[in-house]
Amino acid sequence: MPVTLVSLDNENYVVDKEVAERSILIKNMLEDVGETDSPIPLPNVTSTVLKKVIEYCEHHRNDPIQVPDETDDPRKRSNDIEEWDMKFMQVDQEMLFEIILAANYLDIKPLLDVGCKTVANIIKGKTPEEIRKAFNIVNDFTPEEEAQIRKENEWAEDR
Amino acid sequence: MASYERASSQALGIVEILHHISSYLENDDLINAIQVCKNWHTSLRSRLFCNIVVSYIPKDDSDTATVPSFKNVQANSHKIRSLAIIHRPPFKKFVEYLKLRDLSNLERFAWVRSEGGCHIARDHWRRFLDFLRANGSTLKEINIEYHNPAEIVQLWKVLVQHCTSLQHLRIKRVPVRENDLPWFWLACRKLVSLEMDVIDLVWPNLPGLVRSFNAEAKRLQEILDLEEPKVISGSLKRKASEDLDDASENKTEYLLPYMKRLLFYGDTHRGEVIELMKECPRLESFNACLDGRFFQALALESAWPNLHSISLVSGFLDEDMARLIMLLNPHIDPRDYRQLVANKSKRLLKTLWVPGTMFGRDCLNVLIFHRHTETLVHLNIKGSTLRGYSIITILKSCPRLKSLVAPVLHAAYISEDRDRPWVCLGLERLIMGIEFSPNGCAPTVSRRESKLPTVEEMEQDCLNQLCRLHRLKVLIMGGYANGYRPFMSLSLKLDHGLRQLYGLRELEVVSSIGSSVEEQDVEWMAEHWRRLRRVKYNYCHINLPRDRTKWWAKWYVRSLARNQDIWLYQKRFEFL
Repeated sequence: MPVTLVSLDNENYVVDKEVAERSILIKNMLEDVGETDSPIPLPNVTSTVLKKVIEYCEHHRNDPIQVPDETDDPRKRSNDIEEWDMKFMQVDQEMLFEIILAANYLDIKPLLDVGCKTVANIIKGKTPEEIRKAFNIVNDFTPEEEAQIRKENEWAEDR
Repeated sequence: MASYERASSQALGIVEILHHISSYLENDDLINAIQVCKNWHTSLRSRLFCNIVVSYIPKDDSDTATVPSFKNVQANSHKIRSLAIIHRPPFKKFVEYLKLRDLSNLERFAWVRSEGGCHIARDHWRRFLDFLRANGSTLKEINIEYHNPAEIVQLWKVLVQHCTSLQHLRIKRVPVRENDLPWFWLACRKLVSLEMDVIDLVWPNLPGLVRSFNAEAKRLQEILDLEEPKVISGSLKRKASEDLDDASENKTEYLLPYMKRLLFYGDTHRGEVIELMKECPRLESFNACLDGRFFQALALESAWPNLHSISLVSGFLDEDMARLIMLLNPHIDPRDYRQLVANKSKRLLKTLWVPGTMFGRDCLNVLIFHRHTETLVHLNIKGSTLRGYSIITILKSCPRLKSLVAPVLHAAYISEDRDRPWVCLGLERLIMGIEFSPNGCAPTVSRRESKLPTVEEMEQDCLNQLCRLHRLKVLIMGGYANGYRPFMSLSLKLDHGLRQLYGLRELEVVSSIGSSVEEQDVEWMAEHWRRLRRVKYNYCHINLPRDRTKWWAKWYVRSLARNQDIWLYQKRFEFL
């Protein structure tokens, strides 16, 4: 059964139910409402982003739903992104964060994982100043505070 | 631009998202991250104490730069998930950290000695046991590299009584003696992974012991009023009941019913190890030093339906190894493709770590026929007799490979196969000599070309293949202390096409021997491979400091000229 999703800018997207249900938010909605033809409004997602998210869900439609497994290695790794996902995430930063926000809102855990891994990879190996530059963040520390933090954390640095 | 700021600052402003991102960062990057702005500092500071390593004690009180103080750690005790103490003189200082209490979220603990450490004092051992009694209940992983024979039996009792969530245990240089055995096995009963020495191990009559063990374990359990371990998660139970036909009725009959991974150090040419393996119905992975008798054990069909990783320290002949791999699926005729695909209980290898084995054509054929090539993730065939086309075959047919250790390959073979790209795009470690010497082991008769390609052509073809391996972290093509004889390998120089490797941003270790490297080449590497920490080139190596400014490049090149080694990077202690 197809489901109609409506983006913020009133674009309609018709997708298979199993694709839409990659989003736990939509899955729960559909379970609450039951069989329905009425479109599902997604007021937090623009059409460009929704298109991208649907592309992801289409590609991963047959993946097993992730179950948190305690026997898994608790140490997370950011370098095990699948090749398709890596290509999928090769977008400008605006889009990357839009996707992360959408994945967070729609509750699509694997997409959120991939997005956050991509951001983590951007942060890795960068100095604080380089990170600020990468994400347009303003340094709101005073020089004294900055020196203090650096001093506090020196022990953990390699030397 | 406006909307860009909105999306990124909106996303990074949500604490859950920021936490999610930071969960993929290591301590070093976290330290940089908390210095970015006040918001990040507040949100991420707590994550810093997740992982504590006590490995260096300052010389005097004013030198406090490298270790978090006891006070600081104790104040953040509830944040700590993993704690490693590397024991070395002065011991008193280190033992202080065993006084830590209220580590309510501690999951991993390591207490190991540094090189040249010595026997542990009885008093320290008691403190260590007290530490486990106080903080052990949440521990999932323990790593001890010590021994004190007099007190050792206490350890097993403490593990049974206080470390009730334990899943992974590594005990190196910790002997298990006959008198301790019942307590030892009771402590191991709920484990998923066990690493240990077997050199000192005395295991008389293990099968007999196993039979009498269950009665003994029950008795001990009654004494302690313990329940069956609860560590097994739902998914494992499900899987096990699917895989093991009669698991439910036989479960209690096994000595180590939940064990998935066994790793033995040292000489394991003993029947006991095989007997022990038979006590692990869910075994997925083992690492040992075994001889021919092992075949008979493995031939006990389907003893381990989940087995997918084999690491053997001992050497095998090609045909013996091939038979061993074949025995993994004894009932399947590899020529019958349909049977192979249809048989769901088929075991597929993920790890084959057999550096000492004469891995040759027989093994390769079995791997291909049984379609293990599709699932292999780690392959070490350093002692292999395979040459040329066969190694290229591996690179072209193992799409999931993450690490490959292979013997020397002449670049002319790569050139001959230049039209067919390697499929192992996920490779993270490639340790394989690539030889360019004109008089090396080049193919004698070229298949498609009448003469050997020139060095320039070979370099180009080699770079074309390498530049697609974007995940590479370790690339060793020669000149490393790994047993390769010295030979000319790829020249990592700008005028030899180094720029083509621009995309290998994950590279941490590079080794090669080619025409002499210039300053601009090294600077280029440091600039484009930001994670690089070790370079070895023309028998010199350098460990890069984290803060890589240009001064080191100059220093490096000068040291190359003087043929000196420089050590600037201190490798950090890593968990299991």
